[in-house]
Amino acid sequence: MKTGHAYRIAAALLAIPLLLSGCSQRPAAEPEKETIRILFSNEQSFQLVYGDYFAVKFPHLEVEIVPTDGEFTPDKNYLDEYERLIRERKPDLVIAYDASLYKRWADNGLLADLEPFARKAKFDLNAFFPAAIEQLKMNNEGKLFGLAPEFTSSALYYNKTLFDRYGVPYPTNRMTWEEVFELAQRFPIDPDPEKRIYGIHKKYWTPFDFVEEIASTEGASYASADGKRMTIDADVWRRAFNRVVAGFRSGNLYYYYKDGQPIRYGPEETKAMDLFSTGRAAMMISTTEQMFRMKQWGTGGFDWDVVTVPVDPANPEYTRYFNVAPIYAIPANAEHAAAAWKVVEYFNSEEAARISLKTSETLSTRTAFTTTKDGHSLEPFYMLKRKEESYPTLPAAFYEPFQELVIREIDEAVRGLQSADEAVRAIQTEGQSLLDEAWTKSPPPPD
Amino acid sequence: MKPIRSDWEKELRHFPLNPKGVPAKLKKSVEERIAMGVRPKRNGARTWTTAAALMIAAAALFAWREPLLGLFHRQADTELFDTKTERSVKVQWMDGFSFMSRYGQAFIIRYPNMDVETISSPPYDPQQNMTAAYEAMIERDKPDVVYLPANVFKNLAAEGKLLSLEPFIAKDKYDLSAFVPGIVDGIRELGGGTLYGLTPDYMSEALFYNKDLFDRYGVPYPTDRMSWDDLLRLAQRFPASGEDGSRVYGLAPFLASPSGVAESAALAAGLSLLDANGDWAGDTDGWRTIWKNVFDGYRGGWLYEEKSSSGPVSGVNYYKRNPFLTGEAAMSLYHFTMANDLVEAKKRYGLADFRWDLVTEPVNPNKPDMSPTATLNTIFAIPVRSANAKDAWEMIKHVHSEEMAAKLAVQYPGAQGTRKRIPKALEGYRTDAFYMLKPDPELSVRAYSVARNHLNAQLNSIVDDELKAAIDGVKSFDAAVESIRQRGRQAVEQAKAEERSALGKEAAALR
Repeated sequence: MKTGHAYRIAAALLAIPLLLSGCSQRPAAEPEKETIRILFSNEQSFQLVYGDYFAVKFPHLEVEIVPTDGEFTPDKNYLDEYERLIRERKPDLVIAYDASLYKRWADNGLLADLEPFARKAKFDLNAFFPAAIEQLKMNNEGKLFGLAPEFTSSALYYNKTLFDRYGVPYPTNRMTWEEVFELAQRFPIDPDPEKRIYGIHKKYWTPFDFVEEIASTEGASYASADGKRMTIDADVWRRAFNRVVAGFRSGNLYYYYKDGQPIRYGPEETKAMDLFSTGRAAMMISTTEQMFRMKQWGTGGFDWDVVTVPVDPANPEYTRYFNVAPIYAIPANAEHAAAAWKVVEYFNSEEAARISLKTSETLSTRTAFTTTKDGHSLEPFYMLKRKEESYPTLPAAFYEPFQELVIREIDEAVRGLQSADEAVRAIQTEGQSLLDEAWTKSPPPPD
Repeated sequence: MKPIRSDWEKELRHFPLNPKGVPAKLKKSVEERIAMGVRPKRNGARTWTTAAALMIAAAALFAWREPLLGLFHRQADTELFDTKTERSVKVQWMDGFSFMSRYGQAFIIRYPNMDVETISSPPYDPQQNMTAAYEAMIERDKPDVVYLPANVFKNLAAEGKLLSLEPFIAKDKYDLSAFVPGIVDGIRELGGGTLYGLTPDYMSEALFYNKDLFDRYGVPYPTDRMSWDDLLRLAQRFPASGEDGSRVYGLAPFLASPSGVAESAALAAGLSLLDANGDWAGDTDGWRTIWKNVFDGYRGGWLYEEKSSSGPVSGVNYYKRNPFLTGEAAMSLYHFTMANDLVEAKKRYGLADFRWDLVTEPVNPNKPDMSPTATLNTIFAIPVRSANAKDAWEMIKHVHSEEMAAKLAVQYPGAQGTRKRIPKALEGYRTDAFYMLKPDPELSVRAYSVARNHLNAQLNSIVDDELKAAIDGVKSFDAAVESIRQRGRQAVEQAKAEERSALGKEAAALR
């Protein structure tokens, strides 16, 4: 009798808090301490980037950094050294900021396929932007050896207010460089360079950067696949040279060299270089950084928008700017793969994407986060896919003298001392002898 | 449903706990609650059965009220802080960027529905009433969390401008015992008995000693809670001969000058050059003894005097400037940072390659548990009119959490946390020496007194002048003391006159 009564009271007592509160959260049992090794540049940088996350979300994980910094010395091939670290020090997690490192490790069999992990954890890969997953699968086996929560890409920003004022039609998605230059030229050129509006701008781009950008958008390279012959004396390069030289000659493009020397990269110059924020460039190519800069520095109230970067008319769906990073991957020989997966899963989760939206200017690879930022559609950053490019490997001794040659020749063309075509021919001829000379200094590695 | 539930929870917390019977109010609330829960079905019989069960339970509730109230508290904890709605909390800190990297980003990681807005502290201006400057900032920017210098904190608390943290602490059963003893009491004392804030770090000194040097010269190791007399006697036992670079100093004080040592020793003895009215108080025997000890120490060569150096202070040179790190000083009074410096200097440059350990700083023998140097610099608090007090409290809890203490021990290993969290590399050393003594809250407030600091600097330079003259043999010790007294009194009087005339001008301007 007594027992029964007590039982009922106890049962009712248990019911009270449930009834009152619906369900109350109880702290989950604390997970056991576990150590995971992470391949990263060094302990300090890791702390800077990930300290907060690990302190709050993984307090039970003891993180041991396998530092890669020490391997970056001239006498060693750091690529081989990184791989040796993965094999010998057995990190459980690698975080690659460079997509080519990831691809190399994937192709060399160093990484674990993440799809089985994702399946087991019911981690939905369809929540990601297809172009991101596609880039991650661009390896010999076509497998998903990594996950990346963020990517970088560029877009063409344009100042709507300026376009309206001069009655120029707005740029559109997937234009060619030719079309962009046509629009750029329609802005009047004020004789005073301090008041001038520049048609198309990119911070720190030299004339040759412009030329190279235009030609390589169409897949052109100035050297042959074997790296032995200069191939710059070609129609695609001549067109690019002519466009760019004409643009600089007329003052439609901003020439940031002063007395043959580039302006220094100090904070003041960085700000001064941002012609778009100050309303002095009608169009500009930039990453999402430009949105941050406009917030930081203010714009004086003009209206702006973004469209995709110019594309190759033969491949209008691709851009070489699209790049996922950082890439989280688990080495095939990881000893704590399960713990590492928890970390990979979190950093690629919706929750982490929500946080990044507030704490950084990066672009999420999750489709649910592709909408808008501060009232502007981010879609143009997401519309194009990554174009895999392979460039010929040229001897290291080639680049510096070639750079000098190119600057000299383009400068002379801009100053009207020679035509753009003459500059191309000079670069072809002199470039070839520089290339030959560089090859004799450093013979090509055996295949 | 939600607002009703929290309302009635609030009610419940205010019930008088009458062990003799179930209060009518509770009975009614329980019945209402049941009615609400089953309303869609309108099943009378079931309502009644449940109500009956609950009545029995409610009777038992008052026998077992402690554990049950525990349940209610916990429930309140998770319910009152809303982890769903997107919103933001506004924090005033030294500068917005560093707040985000120190605590803000981690807060968003903890609560992804929250955002953090930051504003910078009013700039320090000795010409200005800082309390008024902070008040104006609070009025204008309406921050939810403020970070206040100890004196401003004390003033705003006294004016009723800060929200008491006591109800939050009681409700959440927030564990104050995780803080170093004396910290919470000290802050509570600044708030006149009520806790209006918390601080994640503070500063105090401890006595570092070089075991190798003590062993070499057969001197017994220092101990906790020595008096300054004991400390100076110990320092005296090291030979003071030899050239710079190869010689040994008994003690490198934190402020390594005659006036610096005198001031530290005076603090421990509870002496000041100014009395409560701000009048000159340096004519006592106590001061004479302290100056005599300092004089003997420098004349005898066992006290280290800081050299004015203009060389580079980066890299190895930063460490080489400190005589304890170079192994030239047998003992040194220093902040927590030096523990980290000892580890780093050895790791990076092979300096400080000797055995060392710590004891507490010397104390006032009459107050052996109080630290003469520990100060609570800046304190987190919630303005009384914060629109988001619950969010503000959650931010304060976050700043003072175990997780943040662990992160700071890695990222800022030289900082002395109020939640004792010792960096890994310092395990095995008696870092407890930093935490054994309690801070004196008044000392923290005084540290911000501008007028006093200005006069103090003047008085210290007089003490330095005169004692140095005596140490160099230019005048006798007695003559130096006489001079200090004369010049000191004069300086104090002049300062008072200036203050009066400034007040007069202010009054005239007002008229």
